[in-house]
Amino acid sequence: MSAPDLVKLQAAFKDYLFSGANEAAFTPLIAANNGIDVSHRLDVYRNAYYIRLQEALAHDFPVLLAYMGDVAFGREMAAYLKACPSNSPSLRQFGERLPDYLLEHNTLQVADLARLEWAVLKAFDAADASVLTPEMLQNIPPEHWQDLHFELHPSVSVLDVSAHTYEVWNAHRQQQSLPDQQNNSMVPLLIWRSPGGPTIKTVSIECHGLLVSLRDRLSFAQACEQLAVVMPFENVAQVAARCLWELLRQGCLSKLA
Amino acid sequence: MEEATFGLGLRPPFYAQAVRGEVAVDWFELISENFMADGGKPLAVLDAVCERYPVALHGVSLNLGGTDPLDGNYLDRLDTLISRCEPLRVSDHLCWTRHGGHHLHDLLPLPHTQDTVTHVANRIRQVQDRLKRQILIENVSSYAEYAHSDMTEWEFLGAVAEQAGCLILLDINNILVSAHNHGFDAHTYLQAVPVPRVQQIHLAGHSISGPLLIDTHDHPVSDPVWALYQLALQRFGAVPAMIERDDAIPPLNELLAELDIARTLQAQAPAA
Repeated sequence: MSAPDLVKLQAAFKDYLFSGANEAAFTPLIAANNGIDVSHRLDVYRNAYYIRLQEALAHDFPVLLAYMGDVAFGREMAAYLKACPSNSPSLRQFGERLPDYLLEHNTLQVADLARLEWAVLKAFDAADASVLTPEMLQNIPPEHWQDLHFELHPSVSVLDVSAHTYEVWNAHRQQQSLPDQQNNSMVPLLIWRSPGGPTIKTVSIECHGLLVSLRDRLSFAQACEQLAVVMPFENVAQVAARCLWELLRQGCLSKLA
Repeated sequence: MEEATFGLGLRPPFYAQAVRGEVAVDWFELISENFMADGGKPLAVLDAVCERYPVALHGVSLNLGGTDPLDGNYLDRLDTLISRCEPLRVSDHLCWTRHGGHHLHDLLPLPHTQDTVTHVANRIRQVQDRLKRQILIENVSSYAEYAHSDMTEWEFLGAVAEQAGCLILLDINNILVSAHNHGFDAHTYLQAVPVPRVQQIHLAGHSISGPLLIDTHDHPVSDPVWALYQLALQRFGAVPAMIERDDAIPPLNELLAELDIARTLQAQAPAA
């Protein structure tokens, strides 16, 4: 047999790790030395590949693991690994596509839980940025406020998940048994990195609306216009100011433009 | 060469003590990818540790032996990390880790051929040019060899280092594991590694899986590894050495006790 070039050899090795379907063609490329079966040698690599990547997901999605159980989690993560092989040099990024994958292949609850855990991971190691304080806004003339653009801190995520998802998250964090009764009302959540680490807080529907507008790079005036769609116009300024104050107090805003 | 110094692989259970400067080591080795984050705790830990200790950077995803193009974004991040922590040494593995854009997150073996030597050495030179420094390449544990390999592993390692002009991070446990798995003599390997290029040593434990030894880093350093380290000390002299432990991580004092064994062996070793 002629020696395979390095590209073909590595492609064959990868295919073997991914599915093992090319085993008959691949194993003759491996030396049968020292009296140890070639398939036993290759099993080490194939098993390690699946175990390592599934362990990374179990580490990054502990609540999902607890909610689904070992068997269902293992089966679903094996399917995810086949559908979405890692495309990042860091295992930290491997779960990035899991929420979308689960939305397509599992229940909304399961996908929501993955989305929530991924947002917490993002809050853990998102970029550092300076934080706006209320004092920084004091000298802005009133006529300039309508043109202000507030930038959310890079660690901030704004989610809208089912109440059941949030209850599962809270129960796991408090080491209580996970609720099995489904509560399908929606809960708006703000997730960010506070000095103590990743933090989750429920917010009002109005504040959630304001956050979504700021996330979508609308100006403060445009964000207020969006609020006026869902609440009486005369209340908008007061509600927006209260939400903004809370966001400032929590360190969720990083920049003015 | 640097004086005999002894380090430890920095892992999350030791972060708190390390950032307070409470760990009695000369330096820490950091897994590069763990600190390529955009911000938050990883970079806070990095900065605090680097204030108190010298560090070495050790990567697992450079894909030096791969055939995908070198990852420019990864190299940019590594370069940024190097600027941030000014490491004593920067290392990765003599293996491949990615193909067709897919990262396999394992240290996969290369065929030991002259063509592969040329291929890998060219890529190492590109990396060294980009980072403007010599890097160290580590010999990996392997469980399979290719039928068309026509060089020994030690010939391959030496040839790559020579042709690339790079340095070597010699993993003593990996030599022992691969010697067992492929039936070669670990002493022969050690005696063939070019002395001036060895700038760091790894010591670690392994586990047994049927007829194979597996480089699991979940056990204390074994007696045969200590014995091989003694021979390495005679050949390479006072090279910076460290303990790697990645799983079943014991209390810190147990790892420091292992490091004391390394110190004692170094002190007792005849001059190289």
